[in-house]
Amino acid sequence: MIIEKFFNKWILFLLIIIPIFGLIFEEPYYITLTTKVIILAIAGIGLNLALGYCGLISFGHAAFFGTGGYVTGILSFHALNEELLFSWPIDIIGSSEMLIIWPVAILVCAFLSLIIGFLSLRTSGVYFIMITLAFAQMLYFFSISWPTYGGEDGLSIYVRNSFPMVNTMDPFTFYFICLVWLMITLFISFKLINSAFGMAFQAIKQNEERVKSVGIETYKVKLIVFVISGTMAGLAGSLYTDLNRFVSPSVLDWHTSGEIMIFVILGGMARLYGPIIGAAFFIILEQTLGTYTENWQFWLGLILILEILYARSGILGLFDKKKNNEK
Amino acid sequence: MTNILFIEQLLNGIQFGTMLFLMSAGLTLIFGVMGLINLAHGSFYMIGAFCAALVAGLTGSFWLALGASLCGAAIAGVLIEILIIRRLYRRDHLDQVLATFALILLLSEGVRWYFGAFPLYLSIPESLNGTIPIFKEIIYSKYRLFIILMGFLIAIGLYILITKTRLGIRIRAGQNDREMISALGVDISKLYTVVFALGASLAGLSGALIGAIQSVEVGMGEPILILAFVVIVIGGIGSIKGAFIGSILVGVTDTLGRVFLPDLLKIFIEPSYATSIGSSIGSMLIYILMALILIIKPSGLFGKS
Amino acid sequence: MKNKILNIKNLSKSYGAFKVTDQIAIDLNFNEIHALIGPNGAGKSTLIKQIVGSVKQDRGSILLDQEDITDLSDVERAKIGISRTFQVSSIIPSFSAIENIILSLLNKSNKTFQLFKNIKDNNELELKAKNILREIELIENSGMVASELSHGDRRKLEVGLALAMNPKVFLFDEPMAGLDESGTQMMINLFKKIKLNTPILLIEHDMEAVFALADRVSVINYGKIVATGTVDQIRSNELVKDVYLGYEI
Repeated sequence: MIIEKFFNKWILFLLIIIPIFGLIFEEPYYITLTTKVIILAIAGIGLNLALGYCGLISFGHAAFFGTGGYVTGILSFHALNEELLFSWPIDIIGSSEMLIIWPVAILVCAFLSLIIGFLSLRTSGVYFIMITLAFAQMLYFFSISWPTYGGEDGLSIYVRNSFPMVNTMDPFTFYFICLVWLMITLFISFKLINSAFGMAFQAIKQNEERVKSVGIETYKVKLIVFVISGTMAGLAGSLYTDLNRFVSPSVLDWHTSGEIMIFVILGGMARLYGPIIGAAFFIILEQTLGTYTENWQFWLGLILILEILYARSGILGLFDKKKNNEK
Repeated sequence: MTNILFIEQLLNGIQFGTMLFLMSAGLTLIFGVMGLINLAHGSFYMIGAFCAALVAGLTGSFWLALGASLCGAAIAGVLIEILIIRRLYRRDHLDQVLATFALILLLSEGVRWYFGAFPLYLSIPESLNGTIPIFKEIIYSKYRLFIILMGFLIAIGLYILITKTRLGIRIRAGQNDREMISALGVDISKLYTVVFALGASLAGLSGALIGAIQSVEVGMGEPILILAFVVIVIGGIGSIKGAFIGSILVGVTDTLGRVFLPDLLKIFIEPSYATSIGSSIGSMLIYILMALILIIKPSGLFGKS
Repeated sequence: MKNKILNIKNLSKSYGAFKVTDQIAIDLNFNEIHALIGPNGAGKSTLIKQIVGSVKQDRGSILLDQEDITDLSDVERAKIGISRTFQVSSIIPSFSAIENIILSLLNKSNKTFQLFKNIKDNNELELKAKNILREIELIENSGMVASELSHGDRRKLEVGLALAMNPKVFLFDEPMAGLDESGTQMMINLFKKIKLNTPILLIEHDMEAVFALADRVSVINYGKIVATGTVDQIRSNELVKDVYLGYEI
């Protein structure tokens, strides 16, 4: 536990120190890289709530990540081109204000995760995994075949959306915005886990039958966790579009779902900072191995298999003697 | 005109369905007998196609290539089962999902490394090239008819295997009670390897057969895999009958939907919108179908509730 | 005047041609312990599942305190006042003993959907939980992780979880299983105290416990209730002796 806390403090420290160095030494690459880690970590923190803590094996979180991304892209696109989004029943224009885009993305993703969760949670086990996967793929194919927003080629938004009083195109500024969001999601996650509700959903992971028999409506609990989880992933997706100033169907693809799962698992499931460490590890691998070979995911796959077979509790778990909750 | 087009597309749908069946039968068998969810099943599809393309390139014979796809995929299946899969049987679904997902990365990148990023080509043999008239005015691709025929033959073959052979009895018993059959002296680990290899070779064969119409490239198995999942969810996990009916249903719905939905919508909506909305909804149609079936029957049409 | 808290009529469930429970009629009065005994395979587990709501009956009705609960789900029945223990201890392995109890207290205290307040700040729940742990003599191990508790302590925790629900009726499924002398005695004393407030339907194999506790005993065999009566009546019942075929009861 002590070592885990130590690790946690260190990772936060690095997330702050590295961009500062990047700022001082005028190497924006490191700032942007850290921002990417942060955004992916937010998605991972969302998934970790549903998957790591509640045991809901959702293989379709790309649906929410991608939808957040597309909502952002579409709103920006319409604002940039000064075209109307809808004209019925009222005129809706796009927006390139983050303060407007975020609530919209959050609401849309919350609604989407409510629908997908409502339908999927009627099943369990393998069916649940497959149905979440299938819903995400449905959105993926939809985005490819919908030509207005670029289809397979994706949608560029050229300029980052705006935030009052700051220049969001400045890497450090945008990094800071994302860092604040990371802190917020960490905080929300922390509060949830330590609440009575958190007790309920963590108990469900271990013994749903028992939880039902003490009078707790597990379907409702799971649905709420799923919605919160999907919404966080959606927010991350929105930030991701602003990071890259681009969104394409690949954010909806099941590989993205798999990658988000990898951050959660590699870092250590059901550990608050796990997704941050997992995302950092993933990006580091991508940047280091990726320069040597295009096929770096081969090594990622290998590491993952070895981890699952031999080091199941993830990176943080390696340092934790008390692993009675995990296999 | 529309009637002919309809029948042609219907046959296309059935052809698509039979190939889906080859994929889903293996997937559902593996889950039914071993309780294993295998995301890497699409990789066997790819391996089969690549083996076929390789052998076709070397020997010029399509038939040898088909044989190679079966053998190559089966061998890959055996190796992978022994090295990795068998350690996963006792693990929970999450571990299986992650490990087999990692396996996809491993196999896809591995194949890409070896063969490069450019697609290979597998050609339809002369004997099956061209079209053949069926029903009065309708002419249809000989090769696609061949595929449909192969699909049905294999379905019958699987049926005979499962219901009339010793292996089949062991498989059916294994689906019901794993502990029991090992207590009765059946060599479980060999049975599992055989079932896994069988599933893999079926996937490999379908990869080779489709590879001749489309191209042979890394990742070709993934869209089919997702569809196979939809099929077994619709049909009910563990049920081969469900896989067959589900495959045909999905194949036909997807094909007919994509082709006719835009036209159908044109009656109600402006043509340019109709085309884009139509094709978008068409691509989502089977997922909508799956969602509807799951609402009514959460364990699929023929699954155990 | 009939003052029944639980009234079960004509409860039947078949799997194919096999009648697992066959027109079972059983009831529970206020302030009583009604024991249900019978050989293995007689249908006790299925009966419990039907009462609790995890298995849907083919026919029959269940009334809890005059209210028809036949169509309610298992969670709804738990909320409305049916509390049960499991034959094999069913606890949350990574939670401590006290955390397990607190989980069970959530429903009645309406705190399940409290998303932000830290559960550890809740003194009221902690106090209640400690009281229950004292009742079941588990207070010393309150902080111990449930998976590390001894078998006997786990059985106690099972009962504690049921107690925490403050229900209208208890369904105890072989609570004495695997307990030693002192454990069994503690349970007996505890149940005697419990029944003063809340009636108990007790499924047990431990005959000493049954005789020490039961106000009424029903015997089930092949899915049917074959006899009901006081302990003495059942002991001298020829039919029941037949059922147990030479077992000393």
